[in-house]
Amino acid sequence: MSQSGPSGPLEIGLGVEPPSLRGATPAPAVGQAGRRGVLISVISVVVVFGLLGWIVVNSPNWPLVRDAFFNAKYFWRALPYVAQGFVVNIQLFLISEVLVLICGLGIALMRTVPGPIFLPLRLLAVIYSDFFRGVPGVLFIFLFGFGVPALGIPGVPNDTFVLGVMTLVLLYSAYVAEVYRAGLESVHPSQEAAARSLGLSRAQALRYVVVPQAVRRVIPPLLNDFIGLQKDTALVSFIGVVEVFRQSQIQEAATFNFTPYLASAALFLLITVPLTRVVDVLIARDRRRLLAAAR
Amino acid sequence: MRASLLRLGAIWSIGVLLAACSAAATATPTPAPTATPAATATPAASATVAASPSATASACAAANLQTMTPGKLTIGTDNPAYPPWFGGTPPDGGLWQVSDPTSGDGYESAVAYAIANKLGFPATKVVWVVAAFNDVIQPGPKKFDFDINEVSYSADRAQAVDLSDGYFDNNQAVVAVSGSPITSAKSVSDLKAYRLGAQVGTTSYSYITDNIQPTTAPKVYNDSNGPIAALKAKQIDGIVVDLGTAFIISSDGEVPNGVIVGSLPSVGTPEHFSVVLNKGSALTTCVNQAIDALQADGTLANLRAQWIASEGDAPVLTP
Amino acid sequence: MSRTAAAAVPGAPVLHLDGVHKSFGQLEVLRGIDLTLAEHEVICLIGASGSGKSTLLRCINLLEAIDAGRIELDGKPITGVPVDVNRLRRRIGIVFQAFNLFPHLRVLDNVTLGPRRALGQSRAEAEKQATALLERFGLADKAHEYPDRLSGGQQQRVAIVRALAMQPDLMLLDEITSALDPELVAEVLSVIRELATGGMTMLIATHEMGFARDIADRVCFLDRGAILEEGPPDQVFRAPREERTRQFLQRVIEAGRLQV
Repeated sequence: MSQSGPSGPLEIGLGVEPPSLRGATPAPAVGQAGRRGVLISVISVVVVFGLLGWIVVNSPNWPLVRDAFFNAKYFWRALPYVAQGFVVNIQLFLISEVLVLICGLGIALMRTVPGPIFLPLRLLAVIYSDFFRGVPGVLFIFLFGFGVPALGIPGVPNDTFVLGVMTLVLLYSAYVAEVYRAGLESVHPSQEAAARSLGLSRAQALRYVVVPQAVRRVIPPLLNDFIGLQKDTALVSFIGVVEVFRQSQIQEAATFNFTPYLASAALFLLITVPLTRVVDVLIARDRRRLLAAAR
Repeated sequence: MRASLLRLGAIWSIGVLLAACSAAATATPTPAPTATPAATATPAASATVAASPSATASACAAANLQTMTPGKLTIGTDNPAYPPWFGGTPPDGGLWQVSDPTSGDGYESAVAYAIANKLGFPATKVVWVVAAFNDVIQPGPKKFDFDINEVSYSADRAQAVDLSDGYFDNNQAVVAVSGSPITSAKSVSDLKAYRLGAQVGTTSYSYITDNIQPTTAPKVYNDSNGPIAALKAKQIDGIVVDLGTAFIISSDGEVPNGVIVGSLPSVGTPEHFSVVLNKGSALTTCVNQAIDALQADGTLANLRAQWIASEGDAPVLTP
Repeated sequence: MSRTAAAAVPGAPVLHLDGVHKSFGQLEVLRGIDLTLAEHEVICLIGASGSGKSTLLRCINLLEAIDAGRIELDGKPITGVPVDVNRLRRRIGIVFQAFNLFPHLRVLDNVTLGPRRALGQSRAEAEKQATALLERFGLADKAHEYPDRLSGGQQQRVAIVRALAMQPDLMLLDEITSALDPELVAEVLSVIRELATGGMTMLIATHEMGFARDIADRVCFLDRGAILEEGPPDQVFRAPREERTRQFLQRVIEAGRLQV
């Protein structure tokens, strides 16, 4: 039967024991015991964080740090500019992420295609992965962002935004390909066997049975890479694009206050933190299904 | 009993939190602390300084100056050091690239040694260190006695560091590739239609955003090489940079087929370069005296003529 | 190809194995299997674990390649010559011990995937047929559930339906009740009985001796990769000729899996 284990911070926080896999009923999280548990949790959080906060604001250099990094005046002054720069980052990672998910899967499939005649394809995929995972991103953006356009090859785009997207896609597809590969290999071969036994071709078995399962399994590492991608959009600042990092730098150079950097950090967190929580829910739901069915 | 204890605990915790927040809100902001104590002039005479008409000459004598290393003057500039500000060939495998500040060649190298001389430090007592441009204009203790690196004076910057009297009056200029459409521009407003680039945090960049205000947002780079690479890659149409640098990069091949589209008119107070010192540095008064003396006796003008190409060679853009 | 319910009268040979050998590395798992399965016939393979039952079934639908010998389907060889493996597998249904349902698809989609993608049926057509099959086997109310919400018996029945939806000429069943709790075995066995009565050609590897005795036309005892004994169930179970068969059956009776 299906089971419901702890699936989120609240259940974990309440210390609810996971039920056995045979479907025993879990300890009741409602009623007197549950309410008291919640109250204790709330008090515990308030006490601990209150104490930490108190220690921080009473440390000797706090006023200096606060003025240099947490200065409200400069925060609000910088925010419109920094937010405007952040729009560029958002566009960059939204477009890049879609392309990375597609290209990464392509590279992973290229790497696993069987048959001796396809060795060159597999080798290409290996070389690609090794190179783009090994090269530091900042080095590559200089190479690609300045170097390639300087060759003047007709048809190669010279828009710095487009070059930025291409750089990010090249770099991150390598990582995502490895993640997909792990996912593909984690799907039990009996799934592909069952699909092939129905008479589906290898491509159909991959497309309808293996890849959908593989992708669901690797959502956490894919998300990790996506968060890395969101942060690495700052790389395009090196080829002149005024995105959030450069804009923070401009603000900071004008005012000598570091709060603009904090404003941009806040904007990033605004996006990444809710995303992480959404995916936690997705993972829990999918894992229940997969674990139960894999008997 | 237990319930009321819990309630007490909750109220206490909330109280602690509130106290912490109010402490943060009511604390008055204090200015950044000064890195060095205020200068105190000592009356002790020193025979090492050449005769100077100033009454406080003895206070600026080398022996009395509170330099980082006693007996030596530490001067900072960025690496690579570029002409026309620095000349000479650095030794292979050495620290400095492109030019050698220790050579005394180049406008700023020469001015630096001239200031050092006025302060009573011969060339042998001068030590050069690397200081990145972006770090120099920030508040915070410095690892040099003064820095000379095409730093323009601005009121904002003067709050973070000490800026000396000007040793060079500066104009911005636009560099492009010959034959490109931007070279036909005759005025500042003609430039609006083009893609421009500059280094972050520079007066070149603020000139673009304050005065030119192009229709396409300018591109901004970490260092002075970024704009040049972008110009070569045709990602921008023109670089805005100080005139002295513009002369060099357009003629020495850094920008292939480079030309100066024109020098940009000053808006408001004309720009000048200042030497950078620690905020509240003991040396600032003496460095100012030295610079004023060099200005008065024509040294600066001579050095300028020697090292900086004449402005007559660059067209002047109208506002 | 409809199979009308009829007496299970064996017809023309559907499957023919001739001297089939299979090794995994040094280990020889099948040592010369000769077997013929006629239309509408039900053959049960019995034998200890490791005797080669599963391997044999996997060789028949070409999941494993044989090392020597020949396999023929409807008189045409399927080994040793280039064949369209996918087309072949559409004609042979196989159900595994571990169900192997697709966990990311609902039950209905599990059943319609093959007909839609491999047979090219439209969604409506495939779903109509799938719903009818699910109803026939008492699973209609589970059509929109995910496999993890079903009991083991229900999942295995869905696996059978999934194989049936491809309208195979022959069904291979690989110990399909071995992973089930005892109380769930009966519901699956009743499905198989119904298929047998309906005239489905089946090759069943099983530990369920009572069941084998009931529905098999013939029973083959596999011992260390070869068919040691073969014959009608009454003969093999009541009067086995080989000593090893006797020993095996004795162990089975002692384990309470067979009443003689």
